[in-house]
Amino acid sequence: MSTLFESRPVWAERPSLPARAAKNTVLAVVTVVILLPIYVVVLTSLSPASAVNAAGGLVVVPGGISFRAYADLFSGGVVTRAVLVSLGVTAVGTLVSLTATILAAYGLSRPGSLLHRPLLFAVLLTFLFAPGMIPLYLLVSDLGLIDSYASLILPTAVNAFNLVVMRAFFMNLPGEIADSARIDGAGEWTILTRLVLPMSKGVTAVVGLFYAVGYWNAFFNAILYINDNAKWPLQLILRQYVQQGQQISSNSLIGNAVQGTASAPNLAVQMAIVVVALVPVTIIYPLVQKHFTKGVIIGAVKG
Amino acid sequence: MTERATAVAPAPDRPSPPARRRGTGRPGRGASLRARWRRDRSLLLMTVPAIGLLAVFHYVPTLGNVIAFQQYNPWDGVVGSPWVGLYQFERLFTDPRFWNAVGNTLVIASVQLVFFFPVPIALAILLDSVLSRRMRLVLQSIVYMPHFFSWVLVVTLFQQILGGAGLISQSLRGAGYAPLDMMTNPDAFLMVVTSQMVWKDAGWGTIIFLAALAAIDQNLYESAAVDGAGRWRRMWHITLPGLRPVIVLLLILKLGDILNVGFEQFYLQRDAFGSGVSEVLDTYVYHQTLVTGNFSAGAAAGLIKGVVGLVLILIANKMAHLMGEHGVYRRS
Amino acid sequence: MSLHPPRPTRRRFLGLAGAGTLAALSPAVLASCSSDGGGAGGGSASEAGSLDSLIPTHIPFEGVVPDIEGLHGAPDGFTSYPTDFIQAVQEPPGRGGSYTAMTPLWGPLPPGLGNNSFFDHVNERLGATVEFNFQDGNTVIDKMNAIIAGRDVADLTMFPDWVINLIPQFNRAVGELFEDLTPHLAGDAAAAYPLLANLDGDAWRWNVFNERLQGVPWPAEPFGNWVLYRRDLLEELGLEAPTDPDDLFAIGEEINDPDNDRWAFGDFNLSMRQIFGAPKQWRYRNGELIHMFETDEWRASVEFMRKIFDAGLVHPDIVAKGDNAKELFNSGRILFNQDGIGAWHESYGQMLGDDPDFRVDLMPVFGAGGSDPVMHRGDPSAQSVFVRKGLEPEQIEEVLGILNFCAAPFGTREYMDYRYGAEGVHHELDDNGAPQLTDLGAGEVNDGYYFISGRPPAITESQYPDFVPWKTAWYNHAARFSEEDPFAGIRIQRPERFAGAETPLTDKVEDVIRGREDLDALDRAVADWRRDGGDEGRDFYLGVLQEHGRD
Repeated sequence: MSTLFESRPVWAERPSLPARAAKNTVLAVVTVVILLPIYVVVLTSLSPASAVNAAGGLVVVPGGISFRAYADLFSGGVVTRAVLVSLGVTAVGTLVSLTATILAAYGLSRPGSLLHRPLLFAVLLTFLFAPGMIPLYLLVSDLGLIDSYASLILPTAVNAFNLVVMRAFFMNLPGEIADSARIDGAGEWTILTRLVLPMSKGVTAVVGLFYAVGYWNAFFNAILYINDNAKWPLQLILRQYVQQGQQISSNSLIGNAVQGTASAPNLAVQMAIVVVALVPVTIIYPLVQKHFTKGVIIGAVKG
Repeated sequence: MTERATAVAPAPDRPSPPARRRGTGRPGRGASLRARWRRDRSLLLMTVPAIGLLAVFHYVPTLGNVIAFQQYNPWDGVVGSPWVGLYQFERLFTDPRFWNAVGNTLVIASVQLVFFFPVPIALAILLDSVLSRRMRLVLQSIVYMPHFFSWVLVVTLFQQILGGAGLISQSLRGAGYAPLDMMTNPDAFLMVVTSQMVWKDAGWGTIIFLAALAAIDQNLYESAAVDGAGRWRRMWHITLPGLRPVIVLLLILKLGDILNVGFEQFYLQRDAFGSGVSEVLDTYVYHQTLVTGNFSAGAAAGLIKGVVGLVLILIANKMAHLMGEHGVYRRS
Repeated sequence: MSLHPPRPTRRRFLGLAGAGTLAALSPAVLASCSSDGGGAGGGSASEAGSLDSLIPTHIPFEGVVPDIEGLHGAPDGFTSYPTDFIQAVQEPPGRGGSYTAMTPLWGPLPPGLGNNSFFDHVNERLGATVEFNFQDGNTVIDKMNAIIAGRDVADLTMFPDWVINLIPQFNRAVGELFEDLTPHLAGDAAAAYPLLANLDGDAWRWNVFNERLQGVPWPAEPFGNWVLYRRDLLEELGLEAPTDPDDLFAIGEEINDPDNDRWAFGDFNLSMRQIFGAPKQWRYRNGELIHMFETDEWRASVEFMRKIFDAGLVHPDIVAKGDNAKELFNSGRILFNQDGIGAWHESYGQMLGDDPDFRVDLMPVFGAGGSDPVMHRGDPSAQSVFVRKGLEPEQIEEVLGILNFCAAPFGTREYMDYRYGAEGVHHELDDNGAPQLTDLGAGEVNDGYYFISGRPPAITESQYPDFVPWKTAWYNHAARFSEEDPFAGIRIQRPERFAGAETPLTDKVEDVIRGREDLDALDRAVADWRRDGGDEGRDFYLGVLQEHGRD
């Protein structure tokens, strides 16, 4: 347990035993409540069909281990290819989004600047009023972006929520630093890249994460704009494994079911899908958390 | 002592001065347009990519929402579909089920505000207090994972634990007690959906607060400690004020989003709990649109949501100003 | 502004209500049940005649003789695979052309053209290249609305029938976006495509829009869903299949055992409607249209469902509308469950390997209180394939040749090709001559070609023990109770208010069945339904009957 206390600042008192116990209990409960279902999901993904059938659902008690679900998933190369598509779209998309968002967040971070309020208001309105599916489709189609990767990025490239959050962080930075730089003749570009961004690694990482996760999880844009299956992102490929025969409307009067020949849905494969989609997410978090370093402001002020 | 601790923490507590002071020694609001253009053109230029993207991919298609005043069909498009004035709105406003959905949505949103919104803040402070960097990383990585579970999976997991044939019920049966089925009991609905939300998204919600916590000047803690402020005092006078701008901002945005409590979670559990308690605005619109192909009703509902959100944001923003906060934007 | 819909007259209302409405009013779409001579009313001779002149002259394909003939419109059964497959198409139909095909897919995406030897194999047999653009099956309605709005259709586009009925103004779009196939297929012209001419006439009539033959049909089995039960477990318990609703309830009480994690039932509301004799939608009697919701039979079926829910016979996961009914059924945690009939052989595919004694059967069809059941038939064509407008006449012929190939029925070489790929590569024949996919086949074979053309439905899964005899026996018994639907063969898009009024009522039914509301609530809900669109719908449908001379 010594690692628990390894970096206590010299000024901080050692918490009382009951306080420590309470804290650790809460953390332990939270961890268990979250890890238990994850354990069930992972175990089910690793269970042979017999164990899944015997459980009649998610597997809680191990009934053998099988990597069949993962093998099925990655055979044929379709999933592998989609992973590459998703990684590419996520990387490029996050870069585009972050760049546009940082620039605009900084550009709008000075109340009283020219057009500040109308522009900010215009951004806010997009948070409130969403475009309809069909007008957006027609726009993407008219721009010739059907079947292009750009169609998976541009329509959702700027998110008003992220922009406003980033702007708020910029505005909470001590203004004196920028002011003194300005007096020294630094332009806005220099202030942004040399002063503001280094002090905003945390929020940049967070907003980058929000965008990245958004791109990684997105599938509906691809449903509408991508006809070429070779360009489908991972989430859309994975969705296909979960479909059960021909979906009919809940309304019995509308249609009659066709007995699809789709292979029966396999719970193990479904859970393997959850795990596969989760892996990059667990890898990326430490990269983000790294930027939640304390004391950056002081360093910047002094620098 | 209290005064002292606050006094050394001016920056997070009073966030407005720095931003305001930025324009020192430069042309102010009253300056000529040309002077302001010269001063601010690089700022304006910076907004061009984002504003351009929003203009093309958001504003242009959002104009399509005029179909709220039509009986729209995709084949004839906006140009060819017949105009019906306020018919779609009147139909919504006179449908008791619309008001039931609005009522449920507001109840759920209020419960979310009270019982969900503070959880990530508390959890973030708790996680942040874990001293070991490695331990903190592991815990943070774990708590944010459920966010990546689909609602279908979350609902299924809850079903398998709290349902009538779930772990708890079967254990009770095995011990000779009556089973406890939470997943079809309309009275338990709010509790169940809030628990699901907390389980799925509380950890994810901590991220933004963790970033804000990291931005708090550590010197403040040290000075306060040196002055004898204890753990709780430091949290009250440094941590919470430090988080306040972000909390207020998220609260305002949440209010603007109040009629969007989520779709899938409620869609999936609509029949289990009954539409009486679980129908929200989005599921109502979905069911209206699905069986009838009426896009216009959906657009009308979207406009209503937007207007309500706009009004609430403006009010909340005003209140934030009165409390000395930035809010989302402010008149300067 | 008043609250009346801005379309006071019926004419205008119809104009707005959408594709099918117009189709319903067009005399040419007067699809009577002339082929089997049954059905209600029937159109006038001239109208039926004019429609018949638009569809292919029927040319029965002389293929493998079924082992068990389907009666009353039930599909034929084949208890084994033939030892020699019939070559139905002598020459590859293609001339080297290349076409895109858009179809929804319910299941994993196969590797695409260029990485998929199954596509290569079939395309070679076709003498042309079909490149598939599959779409997410669950959101097909969104995609289809978008491509209709954007006029972005592929060379071949498949629409599930229920999607067609939900797309506003489809009737107008279809003529502008898709090629009129009448000149190529009407009457004797279809002789050039004998396998298409082998398809059922009702299914073809269903694809006439605006007096033009527009689509190639996909004839479906007449019944979609029914109650499946675990025949093995019931026999183990010494019980026989139920013979009436009370018997079903008694069996349920006997087998229900929550302490041992076993419940009797899943949900089977729709099947109960049919057992209690409610109409699928409308009943036409003495010049009056009575909706299902207004019948005592429907009410009795709801009461019955309430009774089994009250008695705790339904698995709690199903009460909570969980999506795990298949798993519960396969694992024996519920013994009776309503599902698509195809779930039967799917569960065999999944379960027989581990449990060779696993047996499922369809619950026998029976009536309530000494009356006959009323079995609700699906529409004659479950999906349609359309050809993009603007192809050259030779290209249309080539495409129709491809569709002809993919219409080859069970027992043909072509059928094996487009469904299972090459023997020895994608599939092997087992001891019974039934195809078993190889590992390569399992990864590559898909439903693309199967979906772009139809063929007569047949019961063919003879690789599963007892499957074909049991299923055909059920079908031949059940099909004799087929409903005489006054609107059979008429494609109708439901008026918007009529369709919209249904959700509150079906919500109320869920409330009643699950014990959240009393049965009396149904009366109020039905009254509301009448007021909010039900009566409007009745007038509309009466008008349709009059237009078609069926009143």
